[in-house]
Amino acid sequence: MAKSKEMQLRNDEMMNYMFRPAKNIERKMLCEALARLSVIADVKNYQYVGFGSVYFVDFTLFHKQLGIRKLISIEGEPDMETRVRFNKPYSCIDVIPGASNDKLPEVDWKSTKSILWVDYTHTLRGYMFKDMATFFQRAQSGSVFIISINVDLKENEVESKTTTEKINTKLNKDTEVRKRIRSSDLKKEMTKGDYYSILRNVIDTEAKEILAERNKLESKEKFDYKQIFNFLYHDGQAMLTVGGILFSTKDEEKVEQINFKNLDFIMTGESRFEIQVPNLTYREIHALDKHLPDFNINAETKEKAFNELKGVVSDDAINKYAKIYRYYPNYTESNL
Amino acid sequence: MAKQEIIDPKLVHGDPTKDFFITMLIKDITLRDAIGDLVDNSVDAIKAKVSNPDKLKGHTINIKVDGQQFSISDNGSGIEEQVARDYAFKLGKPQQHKLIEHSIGRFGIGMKRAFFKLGETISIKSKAPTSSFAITIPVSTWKKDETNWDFKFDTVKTKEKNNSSTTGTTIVISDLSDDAKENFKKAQFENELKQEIANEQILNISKGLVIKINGDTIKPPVLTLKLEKELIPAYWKHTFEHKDGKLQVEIYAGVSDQVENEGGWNIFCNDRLILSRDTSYTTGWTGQDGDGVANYHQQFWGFRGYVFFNSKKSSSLPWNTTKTGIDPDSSDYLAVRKKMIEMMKNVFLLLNRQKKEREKDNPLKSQTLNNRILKASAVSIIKVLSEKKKTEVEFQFPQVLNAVKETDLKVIRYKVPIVKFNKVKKHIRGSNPADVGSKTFDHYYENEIGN
Repeated sequence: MAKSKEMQLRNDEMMNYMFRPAKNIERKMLCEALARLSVIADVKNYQYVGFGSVYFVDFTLFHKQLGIRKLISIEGEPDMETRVRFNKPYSCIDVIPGASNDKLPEVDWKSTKSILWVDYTHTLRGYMFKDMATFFQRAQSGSVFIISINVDLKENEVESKTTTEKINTKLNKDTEVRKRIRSSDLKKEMTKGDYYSILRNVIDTEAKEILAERNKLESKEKFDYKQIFNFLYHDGQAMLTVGGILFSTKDEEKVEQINFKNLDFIMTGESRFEIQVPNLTYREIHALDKHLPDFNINAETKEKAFNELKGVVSDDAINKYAKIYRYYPNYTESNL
Repeated sequence: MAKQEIIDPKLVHGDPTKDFFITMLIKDITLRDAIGDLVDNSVDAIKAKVSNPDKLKGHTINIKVDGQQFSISDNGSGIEEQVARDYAFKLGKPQQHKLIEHSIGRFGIGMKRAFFKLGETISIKSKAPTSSFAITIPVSTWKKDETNWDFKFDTVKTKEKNNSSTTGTTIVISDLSDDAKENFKKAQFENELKQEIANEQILNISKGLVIKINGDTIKPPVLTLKLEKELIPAYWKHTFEHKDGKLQVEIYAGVSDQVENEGGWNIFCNDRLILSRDTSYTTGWTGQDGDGVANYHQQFWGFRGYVFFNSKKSSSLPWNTTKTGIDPDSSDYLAVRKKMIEMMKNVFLLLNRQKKEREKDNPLKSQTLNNRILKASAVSIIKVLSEKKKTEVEFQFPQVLNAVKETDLKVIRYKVPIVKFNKVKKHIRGSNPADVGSKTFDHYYENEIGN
């Protein structure tokens, strides 16, 4: 019997696939950054538009942490509608069944600022640009766009292929994506990092180009887009999340005031914040937490921590943990 | 005296030959486009004469085509002798020439190109308020002299005082080109010409202009939008402020009757229809993967979009030189196209719901939304345009829907011997297997369970 895809994953990847700790961390980081939108306008008056599926994890978090009361979930699986409605955790969540291409135009983008998280499971595809157009043509100043795409190169690929070959195959699959790639981005030899950068550049350019067209038709305000998120993580599959803020000239100063940059994970360019989640026991976590956040500033503390856990946890794992410790998920068995 | 040749050793000849010039000029236009260009000139002349360009009543353009000759006449403002001498017959408009405001003759080549396309002997008679002239252009003899590009009046009168009711221009073209000779005889050509000119001039005809082709007054199609209390077409407008002038654009988007070849976008430039019922990439129908909407198909037959570009300077309009399409590189148009796509997406919210309501054999009488739309009255776009108060509005439609719910119906599938099936089918008067299936089920239900 053929092994299932899950079975083929390495043991720790298998764990990650079930609990998605990196995604969990990413969500908390997004939430922390989004809370700062209140500099522009009270974030609880924003609307959140996303793909809630049956879990609504992001919806629950943003409702609880940010106080957002207008939440819309686009549900693309027609067969899931009943189940999705059953699982909807709060009455203030509105479920709209249908494809994002068709249904995002139904959302009222005009009367309130929005946070849109198109959390796709696919690689970057042409239809996603239509969703971008809906958002960037319509959303108000101060709105935030977030897109997650699968950037894994393992899937359905022949093992013997080089990374460059795999990247080219992926990029040539969709003509709409292909024609948006700058030729200077396509090098003879490419690494995975180059691949992620290509996709990030395509998304960034697309956002700016849609706004350039919109600006030609705006007489009062001109819009701009600034990237604030560029996350990469592996919960079994490599995923890339890119996002940023849409703002008009009148809000430019406020966006400066937000000072997103003093959050460690904010990435405004091609370089990514990689979320790597080391497997640690609670004893190890407690031992490390005692040195944090000093560890990240003080070389002496760092040395001390390394020595204390010598032979227990690798220096590499400690470094990874120190980057994300405030968001590290706690899992316990419980009966809810 | 023999001309003395001065040989400049650095001189390289760059002057064109007339034959090349003519060939290039007429290469990409059709006979119908050429006639369309002459009609545009007549429209410009008529609009130059009237005090209100929205009232063209009493003005006629008369076209006659047959296998021997082509003619077009109008009772517009005519061409003044000075204009004819310095500009009108020059190949290309000199830069300092002031164009007629809101004109549709754009490039200063339309009329000349039409001449060359249609025939070899062109005679023009024109009477303007202060002058009149007649001129004959013998193309074949003119072509032979490569050094002289000028023409000569047959007669010319200046300092006249002509009554405005007598002004106008008549052009007669004989020695038709082979293509013209052959096509002008065909009834099909004549009919297509009528249709095309009627389409192109639909707005001007609605303003009272009469266009006759071989004696028949042509009638434009009726372009409509459905409009009622809860069904409001989207309206959006914008003005591009450029250094050399303003370009205004207005868009209406909504629905009308579901007819296959009537859906799509209609784009006008200074009242001249440039794209008719377009459902191509240019107007945002890119198919699933493009930046626009899905490919045109039955679901979208009801869509209607109207774009009106207006500019005092016709060179600011985003059309191509043959006026058969949009200039795809126009940066203004590209921005407008994105807006058109967004407006289409909003209309599709209704069209998608209408489709959903038709699904699963939902009988028409239960289709609340479809019936509402069906009953809404279709208003002529001319009437919509003439509304005095125009405010930007997003597309609105009735928020009703009576689709068959997934859970309301159950599908039954089973197989029976064909002989038995045929007997039952005949007995119960069923039209097809599905019909036989539901009738037998209904029969069982009535007799065993009851209503």
